[in-house]
Amino acid sequence: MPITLATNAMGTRFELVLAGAAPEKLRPAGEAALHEIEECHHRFNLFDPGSWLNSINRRATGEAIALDDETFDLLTMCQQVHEASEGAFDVTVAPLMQAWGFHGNIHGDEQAILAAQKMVGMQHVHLDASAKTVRFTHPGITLDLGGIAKGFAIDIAIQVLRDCGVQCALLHGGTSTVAAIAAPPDEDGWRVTLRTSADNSSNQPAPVVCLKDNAMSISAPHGRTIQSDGKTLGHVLDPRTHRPAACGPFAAVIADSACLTDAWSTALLVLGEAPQTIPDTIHTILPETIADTTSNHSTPTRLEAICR
Amino acid sequence: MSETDRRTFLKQAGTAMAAVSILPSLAFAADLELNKELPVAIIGMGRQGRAIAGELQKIKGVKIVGVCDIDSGRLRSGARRVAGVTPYETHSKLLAEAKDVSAVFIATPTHTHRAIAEDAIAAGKHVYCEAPIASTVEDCQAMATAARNASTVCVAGLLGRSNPIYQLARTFYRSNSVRELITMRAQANEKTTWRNPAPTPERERALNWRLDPELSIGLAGELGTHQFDVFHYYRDEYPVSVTGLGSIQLHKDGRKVDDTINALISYADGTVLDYGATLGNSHGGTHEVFYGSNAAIQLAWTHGWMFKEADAPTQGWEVYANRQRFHNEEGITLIADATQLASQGKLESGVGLPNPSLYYGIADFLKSVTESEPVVTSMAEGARATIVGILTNQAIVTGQTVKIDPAMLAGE
Repeated sequence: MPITLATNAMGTRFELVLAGAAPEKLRPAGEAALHEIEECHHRFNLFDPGSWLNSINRRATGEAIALDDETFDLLTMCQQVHEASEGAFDVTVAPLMQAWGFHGNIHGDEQAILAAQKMVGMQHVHLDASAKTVRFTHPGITLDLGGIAKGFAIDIAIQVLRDCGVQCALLHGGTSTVAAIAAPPDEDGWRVTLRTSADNSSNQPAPVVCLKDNAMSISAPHGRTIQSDGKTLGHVLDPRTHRPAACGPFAAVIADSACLTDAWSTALLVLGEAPQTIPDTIHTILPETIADTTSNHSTPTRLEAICR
Repeated sequence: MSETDRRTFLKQAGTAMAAVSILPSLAFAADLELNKELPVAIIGMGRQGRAIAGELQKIKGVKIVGVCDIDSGRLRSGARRVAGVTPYETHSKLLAEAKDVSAVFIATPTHTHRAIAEDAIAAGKHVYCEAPIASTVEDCQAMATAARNASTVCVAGLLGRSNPIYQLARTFYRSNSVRELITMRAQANEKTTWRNPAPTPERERALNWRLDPELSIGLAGELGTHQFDVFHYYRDEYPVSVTGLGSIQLHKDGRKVDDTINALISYADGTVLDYGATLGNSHGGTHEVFYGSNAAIQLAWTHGWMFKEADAPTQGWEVYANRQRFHNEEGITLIADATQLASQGKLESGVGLPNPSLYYGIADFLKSVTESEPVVTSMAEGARATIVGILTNQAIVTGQTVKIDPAMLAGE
């Protein structure tokens, strides 16, 4: 009998389904996994002045801050995805997000946006691999891990579940990033429906992805929006142009790591297509993929094949 | 002066007046920086040890040089959360080999605290020991004695006394704002099994000591101790007897330690603390309430509120204070940095503490170590709160009223 646990963190709800063992064995493991997510929330929350992330943000201009292995690995991954995505993924965009009014504040004027542009850029984040430190080489740099922290937390939680001997689990954060351990009993994988439009008005069958020992993320521009010059703009900024991205309806990514899928789904939403530099281990699902598969197949079989 | 300016002035002046009288220092709002580098170690890398590491990382000047846990998995994952640290399998090894360590943080199972604390004191280390400080009255008293005789700084990790909101609210409590204390209530509600996943049956007992009736001091001891000290801190006195009941309401997994408890803790003046804790529902979380004839003060660790009675005299400043709605009542938010927020025009946002309570407890300890500041939460206070927790658990387990002998709580 599967059991379900949940927690609220990172501005969303994480849900965990566990199966394959007695509930009294599964529940403590699930609690330990969700506790890791809560810890990640406290450590990497940009909106919590007491978080480890904000301690780094306050101190890293002018001095090298010694990082623990986990944080160093996370920032290294941010830098790698930034480079491979040709700048489409950038964890320094917080000042611009603020200037554009995407942090729930009032939309700033053009001058504020211009000023914020000067405080953005991964080239100003210096990671020293031998000393395991981070230092900002420009004032005003602010790390915002909102585009990757959810996936990072899910990866840690999944590892905790594996360490506890859990053999069958599905964990999602806010329904945008999901990771699976093995498959449900008598199934070949965890079937996850991709919601590819905000209004559910499409007559086409929703694509279904089959996950087994891997992770998937989907990014879409719906959700938070702002009004600018009479236009509704989605909450995704293009770090290369410093303006809201002219992105497609969604981008989904499947890979072994939820951290990677989380970051790459954001990058692909901005890019619109997979760059040549994308690692082979990253499988993408973009609107044209869906159009292609749904025109040729009435069932989601094709997408399942893409997964593995 | 325009109406807006006048209101802003009154708001700022009002809160400033209140803040001047109730909050002499705003230092807690800034990041702590030590005046010299302090090498420290953490013994016990479970949840609390990792939480301590997380707060220490934020303090400039602290260098965590060693972490220790007898569980290899916890040691490995804990070491990954701390920069450039050496892992040790036992506290003895750490104390023997990490000679440069000045201070240790003890976050191991409660029943193991005494031996580790005594070893650390003998090794000349400053000691921060998580609360409850021990699982027996004898151990509590021994630790208080050892701390009193130590040449180093030894504190108990009870956080109410270091929490700026609790400090602020205490000034209200001790002024006329609450007036006569009528009654007290506190709760610690969580939804959790309290069970750690154990990789092998052999590790089950060691990891789940809180569910072992021979080792555990129950919810009253493990959770209540922190809250009982808040009442000791505010009242400067200790209870005289306790009675209680407990049961297993949700987690019927063969455990013997209650998952739901209720206790009545009586003081000499006839007032009673009505205490409840459960692992079956998280509603309301953890909080403490003082009910006075003029107002009630509710404290919830990162936030605090005052609810005034309709017939309570107005003191002026609270007219302009930040307010929050609670069902059919309006609470005045007790904001610790009211003056600063008012000057920035942010008073309405009603923010809580910028850091968790743990940060302030650690910061006070470090200031005692590096700047010779007076100890905020002594091991003796830790012993008193823990003993009340142990006796409350005893009352619940036995179903008997337990007298709290003042002699048991004596000592500085």
